[in-house]
Amino acid sequence: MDQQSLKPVPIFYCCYLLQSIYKRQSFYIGSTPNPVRRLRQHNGILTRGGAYRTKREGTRPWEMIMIVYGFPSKTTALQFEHAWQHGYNTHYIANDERIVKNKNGGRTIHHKVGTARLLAKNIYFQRMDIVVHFFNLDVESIWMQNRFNIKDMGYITIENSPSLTTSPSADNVIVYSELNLKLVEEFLNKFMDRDMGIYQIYQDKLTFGEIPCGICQVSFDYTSNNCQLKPFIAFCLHQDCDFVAHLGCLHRYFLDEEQLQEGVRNLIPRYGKCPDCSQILKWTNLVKYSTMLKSYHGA
Amino acid sequence: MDFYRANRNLQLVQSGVSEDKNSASLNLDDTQIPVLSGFSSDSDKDEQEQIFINTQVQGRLDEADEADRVRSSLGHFRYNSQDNKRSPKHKSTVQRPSARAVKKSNQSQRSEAPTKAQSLLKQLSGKHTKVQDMIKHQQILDSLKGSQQKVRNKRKTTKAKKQQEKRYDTYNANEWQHIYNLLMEKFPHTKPSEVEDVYQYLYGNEAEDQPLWNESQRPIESQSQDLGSLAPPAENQRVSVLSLSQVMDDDQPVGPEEDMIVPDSTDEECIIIPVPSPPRDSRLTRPPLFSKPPLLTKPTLKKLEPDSGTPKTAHLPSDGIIDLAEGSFKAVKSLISPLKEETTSVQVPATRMPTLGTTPNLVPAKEQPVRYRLQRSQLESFSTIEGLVVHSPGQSQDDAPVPDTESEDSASEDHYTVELEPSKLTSRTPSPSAQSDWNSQSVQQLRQSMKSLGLKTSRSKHQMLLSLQQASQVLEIDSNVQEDQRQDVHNYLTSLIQSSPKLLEKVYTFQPIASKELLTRLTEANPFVDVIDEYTIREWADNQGICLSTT
Repeated sequence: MDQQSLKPVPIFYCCYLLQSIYKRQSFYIGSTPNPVRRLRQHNGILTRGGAYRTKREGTRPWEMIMIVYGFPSKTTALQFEHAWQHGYNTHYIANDERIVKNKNGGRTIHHKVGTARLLAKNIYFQRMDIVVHFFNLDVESIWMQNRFNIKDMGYITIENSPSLTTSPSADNVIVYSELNLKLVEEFLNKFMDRDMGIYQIYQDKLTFGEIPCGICQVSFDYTSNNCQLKPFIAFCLHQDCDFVAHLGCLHRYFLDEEQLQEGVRNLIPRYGKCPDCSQILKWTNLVKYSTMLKSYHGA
Repeated sequence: MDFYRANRNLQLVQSGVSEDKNSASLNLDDTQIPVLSGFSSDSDKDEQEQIFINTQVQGRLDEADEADRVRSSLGHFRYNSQDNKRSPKHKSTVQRPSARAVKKSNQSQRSEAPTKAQSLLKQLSGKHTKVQDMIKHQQILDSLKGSQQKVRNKRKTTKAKKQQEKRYDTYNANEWQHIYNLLMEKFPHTKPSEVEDVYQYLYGNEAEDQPLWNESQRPIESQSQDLGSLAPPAENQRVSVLSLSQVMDDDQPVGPEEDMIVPDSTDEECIIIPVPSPPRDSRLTRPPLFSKPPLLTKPTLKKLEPDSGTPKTAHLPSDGIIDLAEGSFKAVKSLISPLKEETTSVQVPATRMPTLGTTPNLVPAKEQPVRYRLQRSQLESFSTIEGLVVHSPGQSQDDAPVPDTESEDSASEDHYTVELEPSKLTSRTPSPSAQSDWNSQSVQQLRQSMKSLGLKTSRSKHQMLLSLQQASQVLEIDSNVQEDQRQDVHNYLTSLIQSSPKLLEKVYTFQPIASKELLTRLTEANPFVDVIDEYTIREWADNQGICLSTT
């Protein structure tokens, strides 16, 4: 728990599914904190950085058709990636629900999307509030179609980018690929801007000096050099609400509520209501900014 | 253990056949019980025994005379004191050393007519129903191969008999004091030494070696362990072995458990004498230390209360064993059990005694705590037992636990009332039934139940038993509902994290934790974690959203 060993929740980390524009039966699953850069690597625009599997003759360029993001750590993103690639034997999918039965099976888009869905509904990833984002509306409709009748247990957030007007053909491959890259770029920039904006607000708030915790009233001070005064803190993410508290206090507060409702006391709450403004706060978001702030100030 | 000899003797007593037919029946026995051949000792010892027995018989007969003498003096008491309620009890008390009598009669019967043996037996023990009961069990065992139906019928009858036998028992120290006082009241001229004689007869010298008594106090588990390898642990088999061990007067080494037994012993149902001194219901007043019901009644008790819902609580009063040697009770490391953190309110102990005031919400209200009255001097040895509530003598009437600072300066012979919280007992004590089940289970069965618990399996049975015992100290293990057991393990692990703020913070900030580090920390918190299978840990971590990393 020393600041040195603290790994803040990455601002962005995603698993993605690529589909070859030339060979529509070819897919690739990977993970990255920067999908734009990675997509360019895959397509050979960037020569630095490996893209061995996507280099094969006749597969480039690749279209990033969907991403799954919101992982609280690189480790979990890699776990999801690996599970997605190995849907036939990952332990995150129950045996009776498996749609990819063996190593060489499950090569259709339906299997790829279905496996992602099976993983997203797993209790482990459910706690992380991961988001599925589609860059291709056809793929989203495949998700909606749900050919394997996967029963979602929890709630999976789905987003999409505005669909491309053009469809891939032999002539417009390059154009199509560039459009897709643009979509990804737009998405990422928007996400980063929003997140960094929120982060900046909290940064500014912390410069005020001593702030009392909204729950236990004990003050913390991120401007001091004393690490004791810089515990994990959590801000209410909603505008016009100035609630600030220790992350630990809010954790207890949320868990108490959850225990009242569900009768079980888990270790990680999914969400809770801000004690001041009563709006829903996602725990993953709170932790994300909290760890980011702490690692920026504490380290 | 000379199983054959006992078997033979019992046969003789029961059938009452004449001497010349004996040899035939002996041979018959030999061929009839191949299953039990593991218990046979060398038959060439017979010659030596013939010599030995004669001196033994003489000794027994002397003892019998002594018993007659004492009984007549006791009878004197009985007829004159008009306390009818107590008189039958008195009688049974006198006739305590029943098993010895069996042997006596068995051996003397070699030289005398069988009918005489029976009468002698009856005369000596007065408990010939019990003896017959044993014999009947032996019969059942033999006829097992014959017909199962027959067995069932007979067992029914024996059950009924055993039910009656519960009245044979001795008194605890308080009751003895009470009896003594009553006797002194009625017979002011009686010398204390006479009463002392009666007491001596019943309990003997404490220091003197009493193999039989100890043998009869031996818990069932240790006996059935011997049987475990032979056959599936049928109830009747267990019973038969027990009765035989009572018959046999072989010198068994006294285990550490027996050392702790204080002669005062009583069965729950037997306490009829109203002892005025303790303020509460005499049913709740337990003997100072451990009491085991007479061995023969134990299976009966199990049979009688199968529908009492919670087997743990059903066993609790009937066994009443506080066996420190078995490690059933954990030493208090922290006053707050991590499992019941919310329900436990700790009162700061003023002395070494843990005065835990708990409001056990897990326990049905009908359960009553087991209460003991202890001498001051005995109290110390129990200070480490968890869930022990000590009432100082002055305040023993109300149920609130009281820090016993004031009682320090009270008279040293004061009795303390000590309560064992039923919740603690049920959650902390490995239920005796479960333990005996494990002991008698095959390695495969054990492995299966360990798998369902999510514990590490092992090649050695001993290792697995140890693991299960460790688990049973942490969890409530019920061999019937193994579905929820894994969830219990998970919940326990969760509670361990919850009690460690550092780990909890790591978890709720989604910090990847190296699985090795997590394991080490959890094992530090409770060594029990070490026996949990890694797969179980991973499953739990996934369910709780704990991110495990390999580095």
